[in-house]
Amino acid sequence: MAFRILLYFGLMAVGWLLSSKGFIHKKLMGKISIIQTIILFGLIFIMGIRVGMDEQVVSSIGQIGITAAVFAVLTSGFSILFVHIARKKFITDRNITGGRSD
Amino acid sequence: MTKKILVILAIGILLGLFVLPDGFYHSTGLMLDVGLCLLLFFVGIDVGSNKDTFKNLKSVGFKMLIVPLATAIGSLFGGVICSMIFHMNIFGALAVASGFTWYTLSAIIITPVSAELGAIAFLSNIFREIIAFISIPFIAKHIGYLETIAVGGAISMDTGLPLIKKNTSQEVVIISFISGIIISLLVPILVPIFVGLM
Repeated sequence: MAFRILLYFGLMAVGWLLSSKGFIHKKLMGKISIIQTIILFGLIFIMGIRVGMDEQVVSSIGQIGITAAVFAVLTSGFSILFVHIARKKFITDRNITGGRSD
Repeated sequence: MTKKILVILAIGILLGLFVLPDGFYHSTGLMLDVGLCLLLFFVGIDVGSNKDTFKNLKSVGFKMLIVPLATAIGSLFGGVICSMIFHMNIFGALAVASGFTWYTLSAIIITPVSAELGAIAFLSNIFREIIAFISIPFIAKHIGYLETIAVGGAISMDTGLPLIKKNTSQEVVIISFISGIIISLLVPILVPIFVGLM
């Protein structure tokens, strides 16, 4: 697992270094966004295939949807709550906290 | 973008269900690994091309770290509650919660271990992104500016940024962008750790 994390960060760091030092050709820089989109779509496509070939997932897709919705509500809800508590304690600048702060 | 992704995902699912032979399943793991490595390399190039990122980080100061940290801790707490509700493996639930709306990366890392959890991660992070788009104007008006960053998580630096910019202040936009980067950096750390502990 540590190898995976190192690999992910290593690859990002190499990309970052090459880019920040100007080693990436301008033509390629102009196409970075498109390249990322193409790779992303390919990954999503393969992921879809994998999900479609997994009988257990296909048979419980309704339950998965409900579980996912609850996850979305609770993770976003608690993130809002924790940031709300933290900023009330540590941040007072109204330009940052918004009009209804304290 | 989200629509296109959903269409591509649906085509992939249909092909997996009705067209492709069973033997193809094993090669998809390698394809995901290679594709993910390529994607992260190009993400690094993209981040490196923005020279102002680290300058902005210095100008906002240490307190700015409170937002991404509280966002991450809040999400993980939500994941723990979900694991209790659905009687799931707690580390599996934490892996799902660690997506922070980066639905593609979290689901791609989880899917080789569990296609079911990968599907939950994918959908829940898409739902969270939709919740963010709908609720950011309301949160900015009635709760506070920094909370708009919390709801979107990783999208605070890209797709959610225009909406945050429209509803908050210039200072919050900088915090939002940097928080989005920090939260995004946490995804490839936390998801593999929790997947490994499952």
